Amino acid sequence: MPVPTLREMQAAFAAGVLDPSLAGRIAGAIDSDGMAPERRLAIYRNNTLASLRGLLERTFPATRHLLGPERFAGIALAFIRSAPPDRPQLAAYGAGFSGFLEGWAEAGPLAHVGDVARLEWAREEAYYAANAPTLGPAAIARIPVERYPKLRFWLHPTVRLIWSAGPVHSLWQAALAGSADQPLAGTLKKAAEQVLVVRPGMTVVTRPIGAAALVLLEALGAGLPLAEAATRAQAADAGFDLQRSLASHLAGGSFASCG
Amino acid sequence: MTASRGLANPRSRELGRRAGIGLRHPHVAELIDRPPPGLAWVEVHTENYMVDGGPRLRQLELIRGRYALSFHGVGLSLGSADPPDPDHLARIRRLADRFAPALLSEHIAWSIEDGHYLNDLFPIPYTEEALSVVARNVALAQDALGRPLMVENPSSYLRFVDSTMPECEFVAEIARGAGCGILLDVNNIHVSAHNHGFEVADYLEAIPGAVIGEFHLAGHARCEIEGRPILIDDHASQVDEVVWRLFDATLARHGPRPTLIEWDNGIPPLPVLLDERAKAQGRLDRIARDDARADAA
Repeated sequence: MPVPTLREMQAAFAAGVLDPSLAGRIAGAIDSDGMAPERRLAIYRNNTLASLRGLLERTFPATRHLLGPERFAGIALAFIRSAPPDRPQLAAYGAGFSGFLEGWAEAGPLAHVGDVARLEWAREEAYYAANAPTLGPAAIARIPVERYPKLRFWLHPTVRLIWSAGPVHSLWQAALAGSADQPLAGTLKKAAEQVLVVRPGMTVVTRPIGAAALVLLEALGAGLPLAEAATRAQAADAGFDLQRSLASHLAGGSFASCG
Repeated sequence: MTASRGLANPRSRELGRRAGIGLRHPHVAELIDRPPPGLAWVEVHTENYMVDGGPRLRQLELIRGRYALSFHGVGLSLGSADPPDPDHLARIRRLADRFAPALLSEHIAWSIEDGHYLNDLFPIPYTEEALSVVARNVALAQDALGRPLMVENPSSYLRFVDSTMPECEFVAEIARGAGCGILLDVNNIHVSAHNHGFEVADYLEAIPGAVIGEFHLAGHARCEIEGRPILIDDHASQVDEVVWRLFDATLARHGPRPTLIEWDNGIPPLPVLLDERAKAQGRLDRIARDDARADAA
């Protein structure tokens, strides 16, 4: 048999690390030296899969609680095999996990687990996003009121918005608190929640906001002027209080600048 | 004797004969608030700081204000058949420009295949083909980084049937071919020697001392597979007595270098790690005293 090139060897080795059923492709290149080549390769498989699974467990603790550790481990393994990291920058690994989970969604306590995973990923992104100054109430106070309707706001680079058909914030909190299944069932009966994630300083803030408030932020984030964004928010909820919403975002650091 | 013990890598001089520790998240706040006496430098995994902003980079700035830094990469995959990723090299360079580490190192291993990063350090067949590929990759990396790079000898759990040279010769030839330094991991020598049955004394002889810029020390685990004891390089415990003895032999053969205690899993309270550091420092100090006596005589 001809000696495989380094490239061929590495393709076979990587395949055998991710999937034990493919270990036969590389076994012949490994010196058994008193131990089956497959067993030697399995040491690397364990290291690789355990390290990446551990990473997902640390990034998605609430998701893991909702699914249960064993179920989570199984899904994590399937995710790692179908989409291993595409670069040696592990802060970026896990972006596709919530989407992958949607494929496993079902009724009952797991109905909104994909949304909880999206919330956890949003927190991860906010944690590592670029730092930026925040726009405070004082800066707005200097702008003449007649300019407000055409004012545009740039969202802070750490802002992430989560839409959910379920009580995603309450589920996330309950899962982190480690509540047993019974209180979780109660949590599931709550109304749908939307979540704003932002890191104005060094601490990630996660808070539920109304659907109209989220529409406002999305519209501003898309570059619409304030008057137009407010119209959209009021269409979502006629009782939407623009002034109060803006004040809370200015106090909470949701904007980087306006102009 | 002492003349041959020069610290060939000028960067190593900055850390002199000091023992440092690997920086791990649970210890960061304590190391920022209360720098322990005697700790002059810490080593970080470069990839952990490849983020746009947030607390991690802020912490590294505060650490940099208190200690010298060493950047130890785990993701360049110098052993891959493909050349190193220019984007990843650019990320390392940006961090190195910003934080000015005294030392910069990577591994003689691979972890990237067809654009997938598998987050482990896989072994390389010790062939002429692999030698030229790795030497080319190291040279490309040094050019792109604009700095000298040290490469670390691997620990491994398998060998390839096609290998045509011993590991120590492969490591020495890479340093010669690429003109890079060597980060000599003493625990890795012991782990690989045990797993593959080679002599540590031959290994120490084959490594060109002049290009060694740093030593690593770490714990390993022993497990049994098919009735055969295998050492696993898990960095999850204290340095084994046999590795301390090998460190003594390494110091006697090659002289002192900046020495790092690595502890990555099952991370202990900081004082336990600092005790390990003190042990390494004691050995570096003893060699220095021996050299001083030899010079006086």
